[in-house]
Amino acid sequence: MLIRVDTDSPRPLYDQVAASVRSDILAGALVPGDRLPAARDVAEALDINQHTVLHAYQRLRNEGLVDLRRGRGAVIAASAAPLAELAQDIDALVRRAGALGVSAETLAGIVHAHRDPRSETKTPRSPEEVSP
Amino acid sequence: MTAHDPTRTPPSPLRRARLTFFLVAVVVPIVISAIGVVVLLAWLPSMPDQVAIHWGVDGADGFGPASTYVWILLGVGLVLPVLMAIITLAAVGAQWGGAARLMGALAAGMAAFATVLSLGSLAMQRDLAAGADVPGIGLVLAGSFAALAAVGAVAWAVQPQVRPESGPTLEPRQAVRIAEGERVVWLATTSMPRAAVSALLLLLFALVALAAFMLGTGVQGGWVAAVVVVVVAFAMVATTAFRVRVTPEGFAARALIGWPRITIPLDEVESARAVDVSPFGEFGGWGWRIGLDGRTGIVTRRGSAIEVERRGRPPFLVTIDGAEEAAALLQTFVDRARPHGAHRTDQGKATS
Repeated sequence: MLIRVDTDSPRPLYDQVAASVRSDILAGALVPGDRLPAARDVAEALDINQHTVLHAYQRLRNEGLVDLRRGRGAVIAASAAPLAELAQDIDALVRRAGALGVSAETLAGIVHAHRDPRSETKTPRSPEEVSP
Repeated sequence: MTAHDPTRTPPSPLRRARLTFFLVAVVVPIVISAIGVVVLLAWLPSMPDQVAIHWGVDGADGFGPASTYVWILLGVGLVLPVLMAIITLAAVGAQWGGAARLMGALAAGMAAFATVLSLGSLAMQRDLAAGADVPGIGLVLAGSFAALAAVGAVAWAVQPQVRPESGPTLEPRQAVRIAEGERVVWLATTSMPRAAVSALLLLLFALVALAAFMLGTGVQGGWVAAVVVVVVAFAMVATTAFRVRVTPEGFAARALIGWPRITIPLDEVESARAVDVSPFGEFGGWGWRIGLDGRTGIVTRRGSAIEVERRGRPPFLVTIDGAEEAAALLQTFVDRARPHGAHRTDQGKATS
């Protein structure tokens, strides 16, 4: 598992560790059932605090990508599987946005905001489909 | 990853090697031990109730019924060789090599050893007057080892020689880019396949049973078996799983229990690449091994491995999933740290 952190980056370290795990899931390098390395080992290798790594794992658990089990450590959850299917779409989208001069950050913001309006537009549409 | 795997032995030599192996490691032990058992059973009625079954430094010191020898013969001369044959066939798969040949020779030899040992021990007690001293076991033991060596040598010679080919270099999946100020590490755990662990557990279980039997019946040397169990159990725990990591400081691998371990600092790394490895063909088995070509390695399974070319020492390799990525990362660190190779690195960096 490839993990990269940049201590000079304004982005929190735990977020960078979590992003590394996410991109490994996207790339198919980590699949459901795979065990993540122990937080202590990751912290040692990256030369960062162990709690930072645990924070990252917790964050991934909240996203449903990882199961944290006592005695077994962090394991990639079954619900992480669909993520790999999105990999190509995400890659294409980011590439196209980049070509158009839209940064990944802007794109992330749009994706984040996009979720709510779409779910709202769907609800009024369904009665229309039912009526005829 | 494509259909053709060059480490596989071609079909027709493989069939021949397997057939002779089967004859030598299964059929020969069956025949030899069958003859031995028939002779033993014919002798049993004429034997005294108690015969010497164990010899210490000062001569015979353990006694039991003569039928004990039937079980010794069947256990060492038949069950053990057949177990060895099954494990070898399962482990080698389509990648035949010298290790399998040796196992076949050993299996045949074991049958001869057990038969000569059992028959010899009883033969010298057959015509013994009641109460007379049982002769020493030295001559019988020497004969048994001679039989092992002779039958083993023949069994080795009749098997065809199949030379394993060294696995191909795997293409790096992608070059690993490292941004300024970024710290990139690679971590993974490698462990033996479940089937191999099961086979080892079976072996350990057999050893535990043997040790318990020997200790329970008070056979001299039972503690040796107990020590063997502890050593084997420790070796299993120490070599079934390893944690591997690639950091800007270099390469490191250690067993889950913390020992054995190896650290290769970056300045000792000449280069790194991913290769395809066949445990039996190239290393003669699993664990922490020295290959036929001088490479040292942690070999837990067949497939991709990261091979670290060391300065002034033989290469070191570890079989692991994602070896391509790990090797690419380590190579990136090496390129970055090496001043005289700077122009090469710059070319790569310029495009990124």
